[in-house]
Amino acid sequence: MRIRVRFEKTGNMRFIGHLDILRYFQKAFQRADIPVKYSEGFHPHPVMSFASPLSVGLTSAGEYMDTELTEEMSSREFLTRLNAVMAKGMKVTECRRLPEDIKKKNNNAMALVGLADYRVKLRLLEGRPGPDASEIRRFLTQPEVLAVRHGKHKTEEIDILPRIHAFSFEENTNSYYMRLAASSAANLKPETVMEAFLRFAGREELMQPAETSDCKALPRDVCFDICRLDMLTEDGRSLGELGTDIPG
Amino acid sequence: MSEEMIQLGMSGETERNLALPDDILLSIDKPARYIGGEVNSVDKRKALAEGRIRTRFCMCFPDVYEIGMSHLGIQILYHMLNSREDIWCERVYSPWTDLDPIMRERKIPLFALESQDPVKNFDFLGITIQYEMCYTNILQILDLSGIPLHACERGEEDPIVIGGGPCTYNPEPLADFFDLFYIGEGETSMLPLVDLWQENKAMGGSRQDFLKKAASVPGIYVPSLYEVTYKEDATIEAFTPKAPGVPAVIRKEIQKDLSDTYYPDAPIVPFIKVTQDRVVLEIQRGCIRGCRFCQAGMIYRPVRERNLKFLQDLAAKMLDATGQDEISLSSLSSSDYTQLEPLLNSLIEECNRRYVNISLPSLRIDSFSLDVMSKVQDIRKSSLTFAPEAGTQRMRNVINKGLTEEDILNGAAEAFRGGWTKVKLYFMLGLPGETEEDMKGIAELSERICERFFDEVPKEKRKGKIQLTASSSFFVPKPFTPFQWATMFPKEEYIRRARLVKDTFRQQLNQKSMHYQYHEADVTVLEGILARGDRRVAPAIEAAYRSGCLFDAWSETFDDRKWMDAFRACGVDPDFYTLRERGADEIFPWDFIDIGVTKKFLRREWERAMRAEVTPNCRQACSGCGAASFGCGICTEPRNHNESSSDTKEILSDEGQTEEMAGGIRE
Repeated sequence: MRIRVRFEKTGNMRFIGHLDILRYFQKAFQRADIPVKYSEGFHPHPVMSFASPLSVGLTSAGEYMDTELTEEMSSREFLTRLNAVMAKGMKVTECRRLPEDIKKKNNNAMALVGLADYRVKLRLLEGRPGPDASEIRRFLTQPEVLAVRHGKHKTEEIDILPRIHAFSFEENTNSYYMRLAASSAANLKPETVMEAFLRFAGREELMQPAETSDCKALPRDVCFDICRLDMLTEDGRSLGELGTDIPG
Repeated sequence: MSEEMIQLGMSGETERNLALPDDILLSIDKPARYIGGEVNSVDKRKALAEGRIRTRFCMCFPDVYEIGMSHLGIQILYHMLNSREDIWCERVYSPWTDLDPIMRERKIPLFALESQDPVKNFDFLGITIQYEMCYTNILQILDLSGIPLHACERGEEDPIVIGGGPCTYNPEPLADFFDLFYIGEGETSMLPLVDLWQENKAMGGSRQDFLKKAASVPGIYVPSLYEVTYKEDATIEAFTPKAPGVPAVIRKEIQKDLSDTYYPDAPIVPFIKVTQDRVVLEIQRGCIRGCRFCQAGMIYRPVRERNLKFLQDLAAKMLDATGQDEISLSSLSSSDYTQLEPLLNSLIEECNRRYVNISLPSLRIDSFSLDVMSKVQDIRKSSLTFAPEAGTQRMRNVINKGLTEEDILNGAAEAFRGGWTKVKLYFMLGLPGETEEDMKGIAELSERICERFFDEVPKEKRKGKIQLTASSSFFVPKPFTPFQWATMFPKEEYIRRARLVKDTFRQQLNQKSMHYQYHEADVTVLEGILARGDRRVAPAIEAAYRSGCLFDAWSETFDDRKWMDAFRACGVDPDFYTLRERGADEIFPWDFIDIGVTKKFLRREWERAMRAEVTPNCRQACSGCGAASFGCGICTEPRNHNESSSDTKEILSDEGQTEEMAGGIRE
């Protein structure tokens, strides 16, 4: 039985990297006695596939992982058992059965991700209002917004506007919400948008921490509080919607 | 997704605030080293807030997190102390070299992982001292915590700093820096010591009052209550208690029954990969073998086994509670555990069901162990490890390594027939009475093992070429071993010996199948000074730390020049500790400790070593070492008694046969 699991990674878990999260789930499945399918060979490991790695320092309310169970188990039981053995900051929130008839390749979480939703807060605002919705409108109506992209092989300048699918501001919580391209073909990081936006708004001071003399920390790490809220398909459906609840 | 849900985990308790701000955590290597919160770590914040915690204990392994988290002893004590409702035991490890300067610059005090509270606010700071090369790290821990380095400068508000572990069998070089040392196994006197502290506090007693009372707790050594005087030749004249009621001799503590005691059935599960990333099952403590260089083999006498049922239950509980994918047996010599076969059979079954690997260190290579290993490992990838320790039979007799060349070659032959092609060999260089023949013997024995491969495995059946890796470390004499009287060599001499071995390897027929590596020589000399040092070495340790020495056990950070400068500046002569011949009657700095094994026995063993005479292991015959005074373990089992040397000689005339006998018992 193929399932898609949605989980949260919050609080201090933001300091745990992607590979360690993989190892973490392998152990958590064992502690919870979840019948996950293992690979063959001398070093069997659970069959797991994550939608998209989350950078260290970011929290998330919408991470996805596909796995396979060797026995039937209801969504509720899966979540209850697993959440009973979780470290603080890790929580599974959805467990859905994936249709068996579609080829794995076409509907695994990693292949499906097209977009991601983020919420960004500015740590240096300290209660003061940030650049608001009207500023965002002006930002988005520019002919193009160029940003430097550091790739594996080359560094290039690209226009990020086509990759911003939504960008808004919520005044009472001082939060920025954005929906960005997140597929293997086109990806955009929320901090790249935020940096370009703050420069456009003339508010560079909001990404220049006072005390970084002894640290190599990036402004992003110090100034932006970023939470990934969900991952979606190209046409805007949440990855979780593609499966069905397992009753029981 | 509501704000609240994002900020709160499943338990509903608030997230712990971290001592280090995000900009630091995100700019250093592996921030997970410093955040705590691992599965099975203990959070007693609620009890603390409600005033139910009477003693806060911070347990420290003075090396980086990945090393410290791999240590079983700390997990045992952590579990034991936290099983008491009024005690909260937390952990701290050495901040790595990237964080250390940041903490100093920003004046961030060292903190414990669980509560993230400063270590200085704790009642106890317990430091396990596992190797000499961590001594400067101990000073780093104290310094970053804001605790005065010298015990005599600490006040009522400072934690009681207590040391434990193998290096406390000669605690003297560190005497100035510790309030107390715990000599022996922690399971027995730790809780009584905390009780005494609580009682003293309740009665309004001072720090000094507590230290005086602690001196009468079994196994506790209070260095400030003793005075050492020296002779003109700089050796010790006398070691005497300063006050009445302070014991002149400290007897080590041992846990007599290892099947009815504390053991962490839910060990902490680190988020990041640590050195021992597995659950550890300690099957026995101590060793029957009596290798004359081995400190563990003497200080943990008598050998005590844990019973089969206890271990089987424990293994299942630990795997349930951690979800770890590997379990490792731990002991000094697993093959000597009498219930090994039933234990492994049940473990293999249990572990296959759970997709758990079994790791089997310290196994003697024979048909039984090869059969087991072929079941639990991938033969093509795994390598077999032999520890002949010395290259010739004569030298193996000197060190009392009960292993003959035939054992080694037959074991290797059997392994080659079973499909193994990778072999690792461990040797020591610089052993007492070592001749050029013994040095060359390392390469020659390796060569014969290689030849055995080509003899045993016909060409068409070879699944790969033999790959033999021999490595040698330089021998360092340790307190409480028969070799505690041995002299060491200058650095250049160690290097000369290693080069001679390397040259001999080059002359062998199969040199292309063999790889030889040797450990650094300057670390060896330093380790030698610290291992058999006395109180006069302390200023040099401090000076080395002040000049920047840290993580001396790591080759990338070790700086021999700074250490040697520190010795010179403090007027400490390294040669006095390493090159000097020690007399039979010399009082050693560690002589005030009673490990059960007597100095007389150790001396007798030293003399037998000089004559290359083998002494039988504890299961073959009792040699009267003195550990029987503890009245437990193997000492209480029926065996031959051969205390007089003439009897032992007779038994030893047919060493091969007695070896077989010992094997027979295990089967």
